[in-house]
Amino acid sequence: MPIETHAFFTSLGALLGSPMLLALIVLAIPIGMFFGAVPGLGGKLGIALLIPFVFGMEPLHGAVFLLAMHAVVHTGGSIPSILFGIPGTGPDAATIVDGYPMAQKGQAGRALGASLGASGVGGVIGAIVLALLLPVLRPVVLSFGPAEFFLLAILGVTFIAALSGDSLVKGLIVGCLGLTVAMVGMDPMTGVARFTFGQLFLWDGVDVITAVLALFAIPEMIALGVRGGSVSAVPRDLANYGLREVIEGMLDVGRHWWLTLRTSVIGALVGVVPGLGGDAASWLCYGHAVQSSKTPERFGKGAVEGVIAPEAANNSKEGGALLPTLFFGIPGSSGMVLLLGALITLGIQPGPQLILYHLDLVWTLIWALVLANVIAVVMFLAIARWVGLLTFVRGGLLVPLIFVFAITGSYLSSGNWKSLIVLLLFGFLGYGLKRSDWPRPPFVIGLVLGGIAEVSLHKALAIWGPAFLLRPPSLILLAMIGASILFYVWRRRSLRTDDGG
Amino acid sequence: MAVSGNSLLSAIMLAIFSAVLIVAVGYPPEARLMPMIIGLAGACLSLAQLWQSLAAGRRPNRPARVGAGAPAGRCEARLLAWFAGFLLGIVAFGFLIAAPVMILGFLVIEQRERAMLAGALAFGCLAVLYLVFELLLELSLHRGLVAQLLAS
Amino acid sequence: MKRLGRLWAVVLLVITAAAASLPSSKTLADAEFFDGKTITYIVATKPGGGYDTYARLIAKFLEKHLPGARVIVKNVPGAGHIIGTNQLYQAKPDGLTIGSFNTGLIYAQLLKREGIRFDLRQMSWIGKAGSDPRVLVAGAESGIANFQDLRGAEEPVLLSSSGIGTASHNEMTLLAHALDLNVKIIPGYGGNEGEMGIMRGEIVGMLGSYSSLRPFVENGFGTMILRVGGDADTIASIPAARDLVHDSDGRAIAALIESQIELGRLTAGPPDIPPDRLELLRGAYEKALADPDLRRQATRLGIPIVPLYGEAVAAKVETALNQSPATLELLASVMNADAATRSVKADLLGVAAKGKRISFRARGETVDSKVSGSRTRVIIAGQVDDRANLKEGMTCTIEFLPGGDNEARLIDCGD
Repeated sequence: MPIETHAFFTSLGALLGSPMLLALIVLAIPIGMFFGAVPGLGGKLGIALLIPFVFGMEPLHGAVFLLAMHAVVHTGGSIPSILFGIPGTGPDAATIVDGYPMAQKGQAGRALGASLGASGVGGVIGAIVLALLLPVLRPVVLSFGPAEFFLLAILGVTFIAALSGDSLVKGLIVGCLGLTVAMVGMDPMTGVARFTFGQLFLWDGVDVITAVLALFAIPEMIALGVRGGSVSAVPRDLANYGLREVIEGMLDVGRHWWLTLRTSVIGALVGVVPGLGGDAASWLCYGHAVQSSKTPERFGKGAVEGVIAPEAANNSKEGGALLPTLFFGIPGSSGMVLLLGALITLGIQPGPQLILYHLDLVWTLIWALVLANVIAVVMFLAIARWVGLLTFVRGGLLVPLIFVFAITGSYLSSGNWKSLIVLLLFGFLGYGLKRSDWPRPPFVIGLVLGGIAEVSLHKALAIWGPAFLLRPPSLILLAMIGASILFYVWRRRSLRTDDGG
Repeated sequence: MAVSGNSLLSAIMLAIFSAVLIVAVGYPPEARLMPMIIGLAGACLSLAQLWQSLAAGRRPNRPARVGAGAPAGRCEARLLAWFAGFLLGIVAFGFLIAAPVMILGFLVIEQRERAMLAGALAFGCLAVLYLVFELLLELSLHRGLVAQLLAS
Repeated sequence: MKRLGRLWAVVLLVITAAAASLPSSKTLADAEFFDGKTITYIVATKPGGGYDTYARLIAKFLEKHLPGARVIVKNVPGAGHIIGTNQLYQAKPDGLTIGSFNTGLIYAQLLKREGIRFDLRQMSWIGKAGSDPRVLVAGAESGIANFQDLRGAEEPVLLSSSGIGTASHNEMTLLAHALDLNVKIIPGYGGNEGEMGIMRGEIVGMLGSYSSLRPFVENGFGTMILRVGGDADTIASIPAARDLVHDSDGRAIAALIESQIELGRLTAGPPDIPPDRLELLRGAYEKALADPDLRRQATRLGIPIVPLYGEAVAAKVETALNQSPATLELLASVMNADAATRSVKADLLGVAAKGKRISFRARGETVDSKVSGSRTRVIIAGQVDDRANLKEGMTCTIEFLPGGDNEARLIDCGD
């Protein structure tokens, strides 16, 4: 199917020429960033709550508004991740691992800039991937089934090794714990409630936001309270603070352009295939960044690539997720479920005929995605400097507020007060891990990927039997898994020889 | 400190994975496959780590680790207790009552803040919780177990 | 003085008499019962889904038709609507708490699912707002174009369903049994995963609600080959399950599923709400659903309104829950997810690897069963025999452990 260059440009013109649409985008951006920044809310809730407001609008206006709002959710979500170690949304948890240490080194501005730049670039690239894939959409989306999901999840699990820092064994243990917690809940394949201790609220599993808050935010806040001082261990005058810092971070995105490009594309592809989940994209890309770096030991201590990779992926996956939503009428992510409903409400019927009869609409939406990401960068730049100042506020003032913030986020995300008990227990565990220098990211990887891995495995076995491993796509993924492991081993060996060991 | 921390964690992990194995045996075959694999792997790894930590502890000439280990300043147990207090307070009395109270308490007791500042922050938090979540977003926040008990 | 005192007494008497003779002050007070009060509308899901949308819309109009009252929506998600429904059931029955939950909980109650702390029979039913027929959709490229193709399939047809324990899985399994289909049901396809599976070709078809599968079909990805309910809808031309079942078991199942369909988007209160307050609630609910403004908004939201009120709903729920012991046993055995052995009498459809694996039909599904050399007892024509002598086509009573490799414990073949 040829890309209609005519519609390509006219739709952009129409978008830029319509003050109403531009105004809607500008209005949607802070709303989207708000829903991203407050832990426990998220883009999905944003769409749910905005649908009544969107009612009266023309279909295109409403769609652009919702899309723009949803596109920048993760841009906002990175803010608390970097400043306080609190994930605004699940996928933003990966940004904490290096973003917060950067803030602790007085580089919050730079981290915010990098996150912003990466989000913007990622979002744009995601839209581009969306446009490029239009002709080959069906084969791409349809080539990923249960067998591929299982192997992709396993590939992600091998990244645990890369994220284990110095001790592989500790990382693997923590990873296994994450995988175990992923299995808490009602098993869809057998109907057995596993590890739920008779508690109904655990039937749906342990809430991911709660787990991430408990493992990252709480220990960091306790450490902050113990240590005294502010989030940034480096005092303000030394930190070279100002807009320059933020710009510096954005330039970092350019310096690491190859990584940015790769993770954007990976994120978009993960988004295109419905079923893998949003959290997976950012962690897969973070793990990939660690693996592909020449100096992996810098990660976890404030490496800017550790901010760029997940943030680029977060935003590009939104562009990717739009694809199956618009063209199959099958939502690419849970947020898309609601967007789909909203589109139908607005009179837009997603499906293949959208390309045939409403290509201009499609292009307008793609451009809206691009514009939203770009304008978000500009808007945020204006306030980034002030936002980053929070890291220089006295920790003693922040700690109680963050405690409340985190507890609220956990409650909102899970919808049940009993999750707070989970927060308490895991919070203590998380602090224990931090104190003894055990790596924590492997837990989240296990938690996020464990569920998909198991269900996909059983489905694949039910459909094809063990022979599912012999299908061509599976073989390719097996090769990638093997390569990932070998790469890690080779890397460890070469590092050891560098040490003269 | 770091060594016993490692041993303690390894022991806890070992206990967790052992419990997983014990519980998983009771599940039907398809449901217990993954838990048993992971549980077994985790248990073995924990055992290895425990062994290593204990062995390392016996060697006296280890260089002192400077890391996330030793905290300075305020005792961490106090902070952990405050965290638990915040959480349990909210569980018992709900967000709108417990959050401001705990914030006020923490700031005044721990940080020796001026009551005015503490009060302002506590009130600000209450305002945000109420205005943004309850009114604007219409998301009802937990009212507290005590309130539920009194209502029934 | 005394005369003044007597005057006051007379005045008081007159006033009291007048007051007593006024129309029943009791109903007057109750009609205003909700004035100034807050009603909590519990929704058993997280914000944003179908139930939440219906509830928030209805809540707005309940407020309108119950002057002075405030209706707030409270989301109580978890455990497939069970947590919210439990909470609703245990709420104080003063008329200030009502709620909405998945009709599929009727299955959960029939199957005595663990975790349930409610009895739907006892709920104070207010009404229902929706109705959503089910359709069985087969993929456009699956080779199955109509029901006959499905019935006549030689290999077991792969159909997807949501996780075990969900209403979707219950209905798929029951239907497959009722229609005696040669299918294998793959659970775990929640949300839209079934549709993706069909498009990828790994799954042939799925059972889902008409409203959710309609776009899929209209986009040309699949065809509807069977329906349950929906007589009055545009899909009436598609064969109905009710007409295709062939025995009383099947009819009972079809009737049960159809009753589920009719009771979409239920609203109820905890048991024993005072009758007068319940009447007020029902009245307001009816006015709310009849309100043209609500209808308009519902159309724009894309949520159809097919109302039924009060006692009529209660009666239907009662009927759905009053299944005969035979049907209950049927349900239990069809839905059996426990590890207890199941026993069937069936023909051996296939024997492979010198008797190490056999396949046969059981309860509407084709079962591939492992025959152990040591743990399985094989009896042929009354004599203990070796599994290698099992032959395709033999009629046997097979006792096996469902799940995993469905290992057989006993194979007793008559021939």
